Amino acid sequence: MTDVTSEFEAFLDGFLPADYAENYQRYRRDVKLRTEYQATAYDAGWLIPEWGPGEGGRDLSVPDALAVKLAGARRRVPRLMNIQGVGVAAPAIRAFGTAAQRERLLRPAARGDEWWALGMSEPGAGSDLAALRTTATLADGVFTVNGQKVWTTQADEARWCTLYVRTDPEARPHRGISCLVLDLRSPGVEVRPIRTAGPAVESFSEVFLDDVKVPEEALLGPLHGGWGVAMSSLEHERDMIWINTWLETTRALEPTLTAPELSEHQLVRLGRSLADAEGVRLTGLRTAAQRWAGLPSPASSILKLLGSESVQRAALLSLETAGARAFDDPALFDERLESLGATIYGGTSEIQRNIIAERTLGLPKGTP
Amino acid sequence: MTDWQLLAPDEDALALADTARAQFRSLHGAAAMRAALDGGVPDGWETVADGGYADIGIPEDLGGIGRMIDLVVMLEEAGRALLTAPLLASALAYRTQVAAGVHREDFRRAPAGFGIAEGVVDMDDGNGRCHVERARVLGGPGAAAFTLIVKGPDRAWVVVVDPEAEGVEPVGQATLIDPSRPLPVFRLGGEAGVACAECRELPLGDLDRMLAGARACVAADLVGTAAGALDAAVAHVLQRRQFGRAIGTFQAVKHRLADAYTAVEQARSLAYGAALSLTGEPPGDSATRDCLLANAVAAETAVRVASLFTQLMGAMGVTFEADCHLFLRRAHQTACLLGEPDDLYLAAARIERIERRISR
Repeated sequence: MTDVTSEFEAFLDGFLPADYAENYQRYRRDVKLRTEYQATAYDAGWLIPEWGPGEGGRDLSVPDALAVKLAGARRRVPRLMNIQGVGVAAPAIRAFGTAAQRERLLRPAARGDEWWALGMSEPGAGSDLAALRTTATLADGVFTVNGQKVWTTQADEARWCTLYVRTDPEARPHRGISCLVLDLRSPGVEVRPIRTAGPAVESFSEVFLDDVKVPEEALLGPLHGGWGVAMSSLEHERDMIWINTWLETTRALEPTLTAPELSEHQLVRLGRSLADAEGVRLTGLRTAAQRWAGLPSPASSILKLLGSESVQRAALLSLETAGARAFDDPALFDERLESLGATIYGGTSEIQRNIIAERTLGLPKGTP
Repeated sequence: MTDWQLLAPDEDALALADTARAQFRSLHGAAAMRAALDGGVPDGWETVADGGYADIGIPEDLGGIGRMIDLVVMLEEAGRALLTAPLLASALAYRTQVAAGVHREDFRRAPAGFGIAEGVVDMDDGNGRCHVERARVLGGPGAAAFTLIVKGPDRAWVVVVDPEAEGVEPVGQATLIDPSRPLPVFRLGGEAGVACAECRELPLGDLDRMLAGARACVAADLVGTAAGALDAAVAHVLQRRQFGRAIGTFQAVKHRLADAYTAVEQARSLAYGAALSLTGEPPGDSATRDCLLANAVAAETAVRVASLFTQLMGAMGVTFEADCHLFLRRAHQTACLLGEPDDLYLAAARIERIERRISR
């Protein structure tokens, strides 16, 4: 263990309740603890260790920052309440924001004081983001926005939204998109939560936009340059994404790992799931190591594909292993149901396979 | 440098992989495998020995060079090239000898044989006398020494025996899936038993720990087999046209190859991870578990990708001329060399559950 990870462990020892590991299942739903964790870790410079002091970090090198994040995952640090705020919105503001935007928005986004939604998917633009049709027309220093977003995570609780809109209808699809910082309290914004099939950890909503006025200063990144903002901000937390999937997989396996009796068949399936989890962890580390060494690396698409399917197999195994005991523990079914979303959100497994086939294996584009 | 950074092989390992790839390719593995199917005897050991490949992964105090990660990237290239020289058999023998503390530098002067068999070793005279009814020995013909893991009813042994020693007799060559990697059967013993050149007695529960290094080697070889089959399958679907377009344009084909690629990358990550876990002194139960998982995943992946290659070849896939049956033969035979994947998953799950109970 490096010095920096032991220093981080000491921080965790000071912050987390003494019975945290033991009662993790209860603490993972503890909103107060989760909220305080993010703010405290931000203030102490452990939340985004590779960023500077005052930005939630401490200027750690990439390998050291990764070591800290892995140590956090092993200790199962509290799940952040609004992951896309610190993981996606904050990096976009930091990279593309004006001085005024950074001053106003960055700290509360990273610290979790203000929540963010990502206004990407639309009824006609799910996997195919470039097909989005919400429009924004600029006149007299104000954008007028009309359209609809859907599956917008936590839009009902968020203050802000990175809203992707079509600003140039004449340009090729992904060259006519801009990113606006939308205040979700603006007149003309209507957020309708969508009831999920089970008790999901995070809500999602429809967002209707009817002649919403957004000041020109709220443009994030270049006009018509929203595609670049989207791609860059989604790439930022690629390590955090696989670390989370690894963590979710091991967590979903927990009931099976600790079950009093398992048949040989169940042990074999458990072994496969352990290989899944290790496959995600080691492929994530290998990708990071190759990036660090400046070598080409397995695409992040394989981590998404492998990770989401690993979580699913683990949740299925734990539900099936429980058998009739699952009737008394609905959490097992809820986990299973929630895991089915993993291969859908953030780019479906089918899209990941297309990306791998075309970009990595060099197969012809087009999809007959 | 932290451990995980070696998951991206460094300059030394990459240079070794490049050299090995070129040299192994020059031995024309596919042609040698076809010749073996027609009764030819595979060779190529001189090239391998002269290249110093046998010394890779052996500790320096035993005259070796290189690290486990070097051994793994080198064996991956051997698998990719369908190498027929008995490099894997030797690697399995040396890893097991090193783990058991019975390795000697002179064992590396000639190709080695390796096998796991049921039997008994009589330790009364100190050096051990080995009684085994049937031992299937990988790399058997031409091997200078056999390294055997002998499983008894309540104990196990790692032994090294001279194939020329009194009491060693061939009892027939099984029909083989992959004759380029011979697996002849021998009987060792009779009344007196065969005198061991080296012998180490172990509790039965130590077997998986003893085999961990060998499993990392088998995993590397199978990752290479899978990667070779995947490369060839991709090349084929880019070139083969139907309905006016390359068949690699069809999503049904793309998705299966994307899954195969993902499986190969996962298997490779596990094989490299296994190599790194063995670098700890001494490797613990987690290394044993990592090696079991790496072996099982690589075995399943090699069979799966070689099968997919066959399917994508269409009718050519069932001809002698196409390479896919060579990958399939190699994959199936090597996959079960150190146990069926299901048994390995089961053993890994048991280790994990025990570790979990201890840590709580």
